Amino acid sequence: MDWILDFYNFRVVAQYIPDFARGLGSTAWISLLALVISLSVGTVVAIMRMSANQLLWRPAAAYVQAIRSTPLLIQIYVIYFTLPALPLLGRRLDELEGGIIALGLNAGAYMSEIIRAGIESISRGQVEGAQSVGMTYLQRMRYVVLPQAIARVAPTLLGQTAVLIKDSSLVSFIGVFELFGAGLLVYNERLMPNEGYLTVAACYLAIYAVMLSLTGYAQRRLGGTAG
Amino acid sequence: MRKITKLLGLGLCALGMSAVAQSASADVLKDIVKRGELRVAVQTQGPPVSFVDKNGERTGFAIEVVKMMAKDMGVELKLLDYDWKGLIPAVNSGKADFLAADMTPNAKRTLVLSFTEPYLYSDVVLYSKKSQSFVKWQDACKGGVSIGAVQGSSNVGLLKKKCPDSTIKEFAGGGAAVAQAVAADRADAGINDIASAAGYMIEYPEFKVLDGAPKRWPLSFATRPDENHLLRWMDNYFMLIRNDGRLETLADYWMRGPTWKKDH
Repeated sequence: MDWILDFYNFRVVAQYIPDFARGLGSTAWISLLALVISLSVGTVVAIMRMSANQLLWRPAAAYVQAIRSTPLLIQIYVIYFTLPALPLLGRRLDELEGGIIALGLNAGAYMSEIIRAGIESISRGQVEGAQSVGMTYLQRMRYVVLPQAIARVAPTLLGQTAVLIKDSSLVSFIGVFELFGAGLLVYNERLMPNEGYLTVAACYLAIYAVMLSLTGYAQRRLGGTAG
Repeated sequence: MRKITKLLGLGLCALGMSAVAQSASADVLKDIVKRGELRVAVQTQGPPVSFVDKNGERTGFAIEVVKMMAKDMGVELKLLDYDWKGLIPAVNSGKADFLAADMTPNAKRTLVLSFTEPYLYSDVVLYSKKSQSFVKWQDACKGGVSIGAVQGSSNVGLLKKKCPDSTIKEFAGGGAAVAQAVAADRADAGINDIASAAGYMIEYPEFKVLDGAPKRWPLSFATRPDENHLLRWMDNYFMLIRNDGRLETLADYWMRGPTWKKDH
């Protein structure tokens, strides 16, 4: 018992529960919004990239290459520090918006490649079958191709989502308080690295466990309807 | 899930055992003399405390003090460069004999590490762009003004106390990241020690330092709590170099003006 307190003093951690809760909430919220952006962007970009039209696939390919060849921190900095006031918004993006958009656009490039692989794995016959019953392109995608494609690549998408969640700690560089910030607070105020960082790790593990069960559920649902 | 829990448990046990194994040590000063090498954990927080100069050499106020220490001990110096997050583990695990940074002791930190007597007191100042109307630091302490600080630093707590109405923005990535945020109009003002702020004034000609100092922080080196002899040695050393004027000379050169800029 004594050596546990020596190694990890949960009495100290208990004093910081409000900070960890705030950080955990912030990380979950940022990740969720970035995930929604990345999946939407990823799906659109994947479809664009598979188009025969140059005006569609070239910009999509350029986006994917540009994102994959530069570090996420630089992308966050560019969006936060160099973007001027946006015309629609009438002001500059604040740190939370900038961080979420940067994260979403970054993950979107990776997601699009995964989704593209999923779409390509759907056999030609299914598309032709859908065509023959008179489905339009959008209907084919919506009801035949995408549900199966997403279900098939769900484990890979989950892996990429785990990366996204861990990457979300980089938004602290532009002044957003998140989970890692809570760990750092314990480290800075108390100089106790284990109490700070292991708690952060445990929180990330908890998010991952929740996500794992959600994906299993979603995959079963999608797999069922696509049958 | 059960597998994950098992793995985690195993990992914790291994870490715990290594922590126990490392905690037993005798007088580290004897070890230093025996191995002929002083191992010091430092960080590269930027000029003038610790940085890599234009010749590619690691220098700065804290570094020069440590170099002098090793020379007077008659041993070689090995500087171990860590990020701020790695400094305390480096000292606790015994990889470094002590840490040399511009660290501020407080009641809670001193529970974990033994801090030396302060080798210097450093004023904290606020700075902003010249285009801002602030004159005194108090002018930035009002609603609608955002002040940038290093994430989790003592200055964050200070701002919360002294400027409760301002918005505090915490940036990871050190003082340079805060200065960048002020330059990009992402924060109206920034807070840092006076020596670092003086560095930003040269880097960003559009900056000004606001009058007055909300606080004066003591700066100390620190070692493991059981290293009494080493701690006494360091305190004694600071007393010696304070008395023979060498500490003042270094402080004047590095911390009280831009003199060092010419050479580094």
